[in-house]
Amino acid sequence: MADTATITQLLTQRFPGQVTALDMVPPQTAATVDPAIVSELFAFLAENADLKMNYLSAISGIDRTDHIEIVYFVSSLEYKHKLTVKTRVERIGGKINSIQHILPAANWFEREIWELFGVDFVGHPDLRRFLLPDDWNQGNPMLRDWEGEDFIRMPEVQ
Amino acid sequence: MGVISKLPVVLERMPMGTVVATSLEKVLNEGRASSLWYLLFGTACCAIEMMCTGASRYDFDRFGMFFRASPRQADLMFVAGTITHKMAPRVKLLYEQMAEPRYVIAMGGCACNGGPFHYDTYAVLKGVDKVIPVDVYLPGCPPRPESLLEACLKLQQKIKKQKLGEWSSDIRG
Repeated sequence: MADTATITQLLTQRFPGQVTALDMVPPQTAATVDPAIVSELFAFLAENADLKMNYLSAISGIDRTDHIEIVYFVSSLEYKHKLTVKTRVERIGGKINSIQHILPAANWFEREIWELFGVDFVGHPDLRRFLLPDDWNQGNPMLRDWEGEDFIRMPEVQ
Repeated sequence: MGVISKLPVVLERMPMGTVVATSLEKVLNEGRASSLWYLLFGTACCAIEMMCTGASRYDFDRFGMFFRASPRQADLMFVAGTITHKMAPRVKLLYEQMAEPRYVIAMGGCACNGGPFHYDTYAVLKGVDKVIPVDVYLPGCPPRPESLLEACLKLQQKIKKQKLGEWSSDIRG
């Protein structure tokens, strides 16, 4: 089991200047990374003998109004330690490398984020309609300024 | 429903026909109201409440109500739960597969008007009455079994007031 300091040290050695790690709730670690290195990062996390983080719980997207934050939750089934990886992409027409070839579980998560936020995952083999209705033609509904046909915004409380 | 809905027209021309028609109406409506077989259709938490009402403590059986797993054998559809835009065509299909006369109880806030998902959602249909006609609206989130039984009694009252010619849903609207 690697603690926060060990994980931070390993990551900053391997990716100097591209990873800033910070404590979340111990023993959770959160690392903010450059979006260009995600595929190398997850390959490193999965293959490193001290980390062996090969289990992807989820990928989340968050609309931060000026950019979209993508959050990966990985853990190690063997060592029982976890890591949260945060990265940012452009809000409109954002691109990021797919990690589906390293962690196959990412396939559906990436499809979902592509559909709901419009983030393009470069290298994903099968980006197509996933959760929304088959005849959906109203764009990416999880963006904060999205408006739809029968979408009713919560009225402002006076 | 062809023969039954033409009956009043035929009976009107006979002597004492209206008396026969009203008595027949009474008998048929009584039977109709006392054997509402409902479709097992639940999409969310309201379905749990519906199952609870169907089980022994609240006991739908004493109203002659039994669940049917096929729309072809059901008279009544509880729309129990949230209906999303993706589910809406399926709900409509199930309703259209039911034999007439057919009745719908919109159970819970979601089925009435979107309920807790009325605002700020891209996925939820705001009321099942946008897709199929509704007989009884039952508010609550979720409604207690007692409320559901009350809704069934209200529907029975409605059925008992029906005229012979009003059975088809294209007349009821």
